[in-house]
Amino acid sequence: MEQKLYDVDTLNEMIDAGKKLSLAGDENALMKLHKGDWIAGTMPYFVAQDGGCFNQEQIFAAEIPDYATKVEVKVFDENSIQNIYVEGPENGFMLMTMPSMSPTFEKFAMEAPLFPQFAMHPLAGWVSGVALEDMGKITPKIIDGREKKVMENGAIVLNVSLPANKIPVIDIVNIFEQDSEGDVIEFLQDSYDATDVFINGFKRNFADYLLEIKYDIKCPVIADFYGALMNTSLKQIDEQEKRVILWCPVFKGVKYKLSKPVPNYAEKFRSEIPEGVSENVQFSCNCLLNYLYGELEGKDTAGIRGPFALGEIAYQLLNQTMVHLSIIDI
Amino acid sequence: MNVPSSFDKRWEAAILVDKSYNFKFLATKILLARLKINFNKIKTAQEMKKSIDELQTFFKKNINNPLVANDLSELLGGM
Repeated sequence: MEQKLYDVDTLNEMIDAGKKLSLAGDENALMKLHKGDWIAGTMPYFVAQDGGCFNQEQIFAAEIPDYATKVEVKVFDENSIQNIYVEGPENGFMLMTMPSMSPTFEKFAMEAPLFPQFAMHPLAGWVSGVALEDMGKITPKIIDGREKKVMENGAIVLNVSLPANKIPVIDIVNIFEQDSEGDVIEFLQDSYDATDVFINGFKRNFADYLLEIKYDIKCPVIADFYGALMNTSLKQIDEQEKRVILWCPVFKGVKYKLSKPVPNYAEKFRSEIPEGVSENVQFSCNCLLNYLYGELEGKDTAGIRGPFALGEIAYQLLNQTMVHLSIIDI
Repeated sequence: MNVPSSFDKRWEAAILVDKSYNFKFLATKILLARLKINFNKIKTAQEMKKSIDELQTFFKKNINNPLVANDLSELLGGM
């Protein structure tokens, strides 16, 4: 099935036909759907058939392929999310949605790499949100389509088992690059904010440092995990408190570097994604910050479509990154 | 392709040595980086054993994936 925006009536026909779906849309639109084998997160921003868009009427759908041998819905909360990797299918993948800033999200964001069997089973997903004008007024949600149960906290997961000849591959596209000649930044603790840090081994205030070098906070700080560039986005520099607030946690013991501005996000996505990749993609999401900072309204991202998210998941929480999941034959 | 037992000394070297690799599979990159970060915080024999067990289990579970098989050769082949 093509991944794209559908109207509610078409999706209801698909749900009634027994299709298994991962959905993203405005809460009001999602509540018009029939009960069925679907999971959803709230979010009205997408890269769809006409490029980046805001749409509160239609719903973005990614269908689980018919060749899946088993599809199970699992729900976790902050007390059980540590079992996410343990409960993954033997050959298959997990597709997860969780509401931004909920207790389950917080636990996953901070501790996922320490959970048992971390990265043993492929986990992709996205963090749900709301329209920008509704932030602070309406909470992000997830929905279990079997009973149309709406949750402000938790994680809803499709556990998808595949035949032995098919293998899921999760990958990321990061349009930012480390400033390789730049300073090495080390944080003193795992945290969503930072005051004192080590810059090239010397302790100093991170807010003062960023202000001094006139750093554009639209650019993330980046850790290099053997070529996988892991972004942490900067939310705000609090000059009074001399504190830098982050969109996702930084971790002690990781070496970060600054990054450089990207002049044209859409063009950079096109150049970073090899031709033909989009044809095998079964699920994708991209960061809402890329939509906003990169002015992706009406622009395509190399044919890869999906919801914009308040956090992307490829084994762990990521930021300012496109995540895509493909299935390959062996 | 066979995955060496957890007693193979090359696993320990993989956790200890700072070296760049041409890994193809995202989970290999993230897992090895995370294991090294965790080990460097604690640096005990027990943590080393735990790290080796996790790394070896990851390759055993995923070795049918050609990208993972490539990564195993890349990781241990040069040692």
